[in-house]
Amino acid sequence: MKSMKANRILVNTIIYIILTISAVVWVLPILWLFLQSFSGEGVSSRAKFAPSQWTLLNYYYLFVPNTHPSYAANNTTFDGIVANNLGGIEMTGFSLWFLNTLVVAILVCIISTIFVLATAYALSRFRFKARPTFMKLNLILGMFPGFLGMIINYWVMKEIFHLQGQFWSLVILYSAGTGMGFFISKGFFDTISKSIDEAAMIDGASRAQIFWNIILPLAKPIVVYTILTSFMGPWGDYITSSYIIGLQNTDNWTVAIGLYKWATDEQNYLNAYYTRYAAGSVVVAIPMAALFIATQKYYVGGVTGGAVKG
Amino acid sequence: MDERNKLKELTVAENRTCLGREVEPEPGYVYFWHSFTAGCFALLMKIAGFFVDIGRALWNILKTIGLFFGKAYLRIKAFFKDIGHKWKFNDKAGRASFFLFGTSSLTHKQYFNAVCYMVFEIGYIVFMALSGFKAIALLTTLGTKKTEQVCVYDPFLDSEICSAVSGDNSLLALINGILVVFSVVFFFYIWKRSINAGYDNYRIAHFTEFDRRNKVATPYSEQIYEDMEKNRLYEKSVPLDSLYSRYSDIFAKVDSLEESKMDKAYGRYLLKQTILSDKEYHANLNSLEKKKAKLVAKAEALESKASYLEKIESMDKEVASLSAQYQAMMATANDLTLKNDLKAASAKKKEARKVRVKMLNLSNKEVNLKTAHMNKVGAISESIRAYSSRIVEAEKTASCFAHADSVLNHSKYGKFNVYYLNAASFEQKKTFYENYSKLVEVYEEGKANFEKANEENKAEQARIVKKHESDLAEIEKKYEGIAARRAEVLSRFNAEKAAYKEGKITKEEYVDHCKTIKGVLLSLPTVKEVNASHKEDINNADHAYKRDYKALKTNYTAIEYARFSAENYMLINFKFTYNLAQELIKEVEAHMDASTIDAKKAEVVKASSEYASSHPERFEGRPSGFKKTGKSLLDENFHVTLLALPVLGVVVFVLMPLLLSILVGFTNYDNQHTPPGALFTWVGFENFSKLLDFGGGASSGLGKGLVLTFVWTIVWAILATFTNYFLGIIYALMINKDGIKFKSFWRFVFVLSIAVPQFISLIGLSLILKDGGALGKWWYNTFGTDLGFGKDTTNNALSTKAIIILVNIWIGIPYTILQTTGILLNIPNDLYESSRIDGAGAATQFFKITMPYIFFVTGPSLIQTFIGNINNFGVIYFLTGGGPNNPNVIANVRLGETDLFITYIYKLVTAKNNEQYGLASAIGIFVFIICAIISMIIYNKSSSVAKEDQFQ
Repeated sequence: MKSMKANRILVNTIIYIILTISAVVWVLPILWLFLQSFSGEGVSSRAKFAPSQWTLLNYYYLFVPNTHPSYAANNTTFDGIVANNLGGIEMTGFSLWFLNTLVVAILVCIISTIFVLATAYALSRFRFKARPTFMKLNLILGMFPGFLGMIINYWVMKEIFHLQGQFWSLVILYSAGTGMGFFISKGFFDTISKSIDEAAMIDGASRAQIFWNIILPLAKPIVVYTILTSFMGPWGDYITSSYIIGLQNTDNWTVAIGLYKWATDEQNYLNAYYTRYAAGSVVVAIPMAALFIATQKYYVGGVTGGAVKG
Repeated sequence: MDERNKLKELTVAENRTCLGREVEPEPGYVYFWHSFTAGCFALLMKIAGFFVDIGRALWNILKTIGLFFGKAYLRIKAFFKDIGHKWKFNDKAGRASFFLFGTSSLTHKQYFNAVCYMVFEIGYIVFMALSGFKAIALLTTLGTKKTEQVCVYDPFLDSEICSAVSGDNSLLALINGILVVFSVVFFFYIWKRSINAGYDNYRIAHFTEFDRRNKVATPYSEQIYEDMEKNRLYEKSVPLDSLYSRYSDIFAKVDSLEESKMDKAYGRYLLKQTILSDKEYHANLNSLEKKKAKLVAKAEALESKASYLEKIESMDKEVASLSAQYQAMMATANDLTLKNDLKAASAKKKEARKVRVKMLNLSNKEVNLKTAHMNKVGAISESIRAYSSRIVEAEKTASCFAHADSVLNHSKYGKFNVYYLNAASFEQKKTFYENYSKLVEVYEEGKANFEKANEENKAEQARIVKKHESDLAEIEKKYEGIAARRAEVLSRFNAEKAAYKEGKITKEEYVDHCKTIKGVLLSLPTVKEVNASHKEDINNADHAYKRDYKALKTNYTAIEYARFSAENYMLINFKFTYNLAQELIKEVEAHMDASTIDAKKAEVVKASSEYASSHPERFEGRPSGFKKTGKSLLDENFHVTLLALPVLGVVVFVLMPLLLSILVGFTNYDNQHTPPGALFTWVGFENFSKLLDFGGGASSGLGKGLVLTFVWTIVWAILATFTNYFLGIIYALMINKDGIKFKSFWRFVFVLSIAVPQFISLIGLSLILKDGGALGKWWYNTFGTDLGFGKDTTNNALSTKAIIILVNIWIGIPYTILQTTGILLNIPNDLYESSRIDGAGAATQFFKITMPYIFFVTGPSLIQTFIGNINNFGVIYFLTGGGPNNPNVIANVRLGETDLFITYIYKLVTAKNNEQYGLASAIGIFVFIICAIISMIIYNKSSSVAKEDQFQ
């Protein structure tokens, strides 16, 4: 008995050591980025873990258009004052991108949550003729690299809808295909007993009423999860937005394009914008992280519980 | 297992004889060679099996495509046959809606539907005339006229006036052309709907007429049905004409009836359809029965296969002869030893060993053969059972066509005719009271039957329980025997040991004997093997027991069964509606006396005549109108409302673009051919031949580079999927282990890295890892060389690839942790409790409950994760951008060492002034084929994963 206890203590100690090391490994890069955003020494702090001079100006100049001459070496169109948007309010590129991303993400979040839940509920509860075809089609479409269709979508947006480079095209393209991501929600709906539906039907409720008044309140975790993932998609997307918006329409960029450009274009931007890139990253990450951690109780345990029978 | 044990017994017996003669057994290395060759063979078979799997997946894909077209052909054929009938038995308005959609709806007062149909048709015709046909014609060339400046000399101004004349746009031509082609299909669909609406309106309006026609024709139709069944006239060899002539007298009888021309025609139609549908049904049944008979014959042949039995017998004989040979050789060797001719003796022994190995190989082969044979027989009997159930299903639904048509008339069209419905319910109630005593009889009979059957079932169940117990006892006995044999050998060893300690035998003798005993032990099945087969036997017995026991279990009570049989009697014999039968069954249960029944009957008759007299106009129903349809969209057709927009979105912005981009893969759409300045056109498989270009040329060696990309993509997908999966599970188990504190803290740390958007952490990591970054600098300061992340091309950029996979672990593990934590919290606690009562330890619980549960839940999603990783854009693009460039590939767009297909597609499409859309689409098609094959293989392999009942 004694040896067993000693054994357990040994195992737990090893686990603690592994977890502690891992925790450090997992937190360090994020911490690094956070510290870089307060750097007062420009790009040279990139090679260090923590900057030696500290400042808050990175955040200040991220949103305030009047760039102090001593702050940035070159003042390019990225920071150019945008007067023709939003009733002549002067804005920096980043604040415009942030606003773009926020609007797109909120709109897409609303539409795609409705789409996903509607599709999942229909496929979970109804048995109609086209159902197997739809499920199979979904499987086959999932095997194509989704980006391929963007070549056509770009032209459709440009020539048919005349929305080239505008964020409305992003809203349409992000939300149109979301009906395909119904698997997890459908799995969750499947676990809600059908006898609840039947009981309500006997009481005279229509299917729409059942969905709205009975199933949705029961499926709160999956609703929260769907809202969260629907918001995260456009918030962090680069591949679609960069292709559809194009690199020329800087006014319509999303934060992903802007930050990527700042961080990877070593010739034009990296040196001048490095610290602002770090600050921008923190600004973009904070709302997402807050949302994610605040809703943690819904998806730990709740969501995957639905997948058990999915 | 029996065979194996017998064999082992044989070897044990042999060894005993050897033991008696004090012959040393063969050393271990003799077995080694055999196991080595067997292992190599198994590996070869695995590799061959992989290729067979790929072949099978391809075959399945082809089969699916073939089946699709076959079905489409059959449906189109059936459609045209169907509209012929709908033209013949229709009124003028119904026929008119063949041409002008919605005419029939208009005459039946469905104005909204009618307007929708007409506006659609007229609008479509105008659209096609104006631009549709042109668009389809343009699809063949994708445009010929470029957009260019046209300048005209103006004599008044004495200068040229230039203006741009817009020409064709290849891409728009492609998009419009395909849209128009799809719209044609949609037009035909609406056409069919219009025809159906017309026919339905006609049948609803003439409900009673069709009912009468059915009643007139059914007896003749049934006559044909029975005759065909009796004389097996549905064989394929009997031509239709001869069948028609065989029943010409029945046709003539129908013709001579005093009915209207239309009625007679419909009667003939019903008779003809009876012949046709019976032929079809029986052909189907025939083929099913033939297939089943084939399988039965195959199973029987397999069980009593002469060649197999001969083979087994000859093997048995050979084994016996080899064993005799071996013993004889060993005996001579012993004799030689006694004669002190040690050299000859050892030579003889060597020979003997060879014979023995041969014998063991042979007996192993025999066991394998027998198991394979048994498996084959089992699989065949499984499919025989499936065919039997399909035959039963087919038989259940069979009836003569006139009867089926009548059922259709009542169920589909009757519900719109309110007068008919009410009158029918009065009629049915009358029938009910007339047959009341019979129904009570049926009810009681059902009750009695159930009790009888229940008793029989219980007796059978008791028998099954007993049999199961005896089976288990037998198994235990069998394995006790094996254990006893092992114990016996061990006790012999102990006796030798004791004898040696006591000094009864010399050390040499002891060692010699030990060798012998070791040989005997080696020849026994190992403990692991015995345990495994023991468990398998018990499992098989349990499974058979559960299956048989379950089959006899009933889920309803005697009263329910009695109700069920009475209801069925009403439904089948009197064609009651289900609701009415349910309502009336209560009166059957009440067992009313004759006087009450008479009173009730009189009541119904009175009510019926009152209803008839108060409704002289005989209301003619019509299908649900606009309002009712709208209401149904929130109720029984709610799925249409729910799915309309999502499906529209998927079709317009996902499906159509993908189809179009597949077509783009067959064009030369690139930077040089970008409309409107230039046009592109069809080039066939040119892009694909560029992909497979291994030689020189403009895109020199793109094929070579893409082979490397392919290998890297697959390696990446495998490593990324499985490292994340297994490491994530390990981390989740560590965090959730009992006795580990701060669980939510550890979880928070990992969740933090998901909470930060991926592109931010990935760009950050790439900045850290590159040579100017914190880690790159640290590496340089520590090791004196650059880390070279995204730059170093030695060994095909191996270091960069390794770091990418490590970073992916950093990215991906938290997701698995989150998922697995949820699953761990969801494992039913009673599983653990019951296993604890059964005496399972922590390790057993982990391997028997936790791991299977996790695999069961997450296994299926691994396929999707794998496909997702093949198309993982973010990790590669943000970390390295696909770099470093592959120095050996000189393509128009540089191919990177760490590029996946998806990132290369992105590069091809976004390369400034060098876009290669056609090539990108061709690569996309290639990726799809890879993904399809992999999914097919995994789905085939893991079909058991989908079976939820398996996990218990």
